[in-house]
Amino acid sequence: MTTVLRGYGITASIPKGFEGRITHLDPVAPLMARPHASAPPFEAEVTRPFIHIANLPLPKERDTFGGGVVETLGANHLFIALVEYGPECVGTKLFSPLGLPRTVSARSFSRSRLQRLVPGQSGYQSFFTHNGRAFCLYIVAGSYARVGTMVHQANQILRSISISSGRTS
Amino acid sequence: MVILVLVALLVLIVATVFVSALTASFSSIEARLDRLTAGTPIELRRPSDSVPTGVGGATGRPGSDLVGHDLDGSPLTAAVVGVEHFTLLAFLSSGCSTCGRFWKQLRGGELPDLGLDTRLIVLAKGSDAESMTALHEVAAGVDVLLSTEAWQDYEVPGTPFFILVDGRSGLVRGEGTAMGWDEVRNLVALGRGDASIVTGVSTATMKPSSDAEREAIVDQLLMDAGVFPGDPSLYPGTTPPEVGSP
Repeated sequence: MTTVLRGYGITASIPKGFEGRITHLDPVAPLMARPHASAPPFEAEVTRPFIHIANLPLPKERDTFGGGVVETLGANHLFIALVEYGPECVGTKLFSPLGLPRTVSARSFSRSRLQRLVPGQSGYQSFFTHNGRAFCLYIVAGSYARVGTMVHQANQILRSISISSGRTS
Repeated sequence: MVILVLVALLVLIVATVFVSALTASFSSIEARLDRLTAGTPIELRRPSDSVPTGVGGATGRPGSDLVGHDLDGSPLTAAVVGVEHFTLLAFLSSGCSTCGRFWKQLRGGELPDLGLDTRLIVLAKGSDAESMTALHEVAAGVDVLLSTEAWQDYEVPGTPFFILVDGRSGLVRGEGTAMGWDEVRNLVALGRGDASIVTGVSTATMKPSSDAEREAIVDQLLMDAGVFPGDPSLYPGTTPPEVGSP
């Protein structure tokens, strides 16, 4: 049995035991909008959505790359983050690979790929462009020793994700 | 002669009173027997076979995962079945007066102590059936899952309403309404068969599942009879453990 998470042009089938949240942070107000500001105005920040999927409860307050969640991962837990970047990133070398990876292998996980180093965990990172939108796929396995059994679940989720082109709202 | 008649009269009066009392008593017993044979029998029921009975009621129907939005409109899903913990679903609304006390405590971060392994998810209806303005007011800062679909899936009859789901079996273990967190904790204790939630006394030592099931049936019967954890009648000759507050 799966549930479907849908928003901002992203759709994912969430398998049993997993849950997901899509978050779109409020932009920080430009300096000129603040009464004490005297510097030239900056353009208003444009924020992009990020999607988190994990087999443990996801709290409302989470950092983009899973801060607030990854510290609590158990040995059998898996955390997946799909983070969108701005259109200025499209076409850059970092985001040049095309398409969301549909399969990841256990060998592509490493402790050195963790955004936040937590003992025992291992991570995976991939930057790519999908349908004209730039993303980072970040996966954390709660136990480095059990990555082999977790990639199957990760790949099941990755294969279910669809990303539409254009507007994200 | 007169004395003899008076004594006979006295005996007659006493006999009449005695027969009347006996008849009344017999009628009472007969009425009770009638009720027992023709009325609702006392039924020993397992939690999975029972029907909603307010706090402490339980069903064995399957639970389901949740899909909806948060107060900011961000999409989310929540896993309820196929997980290693219990989930207490708290169905609240902005309009019901009883919900007000729950909202107030949740806003203040006063989350009830439901014991380890029980996750609380607060639910409200979506914008199609709930005033978002009112909800933002009462639920400010509370992580609320808005899902009219969940209300339909769980057949929620009104608010406030609480449903306990066992993530391992995927079955509803208890449901009912409540006036405060104390009653909700009783529901959780009953559903989990874990009195430590309300007594504060740890039950760290694991019991065989058959014991736990038997205990759950006994707990159900006691709570149906109005005997809740901490009741002095459960501790004859001793001091009952102090029941913690939420």
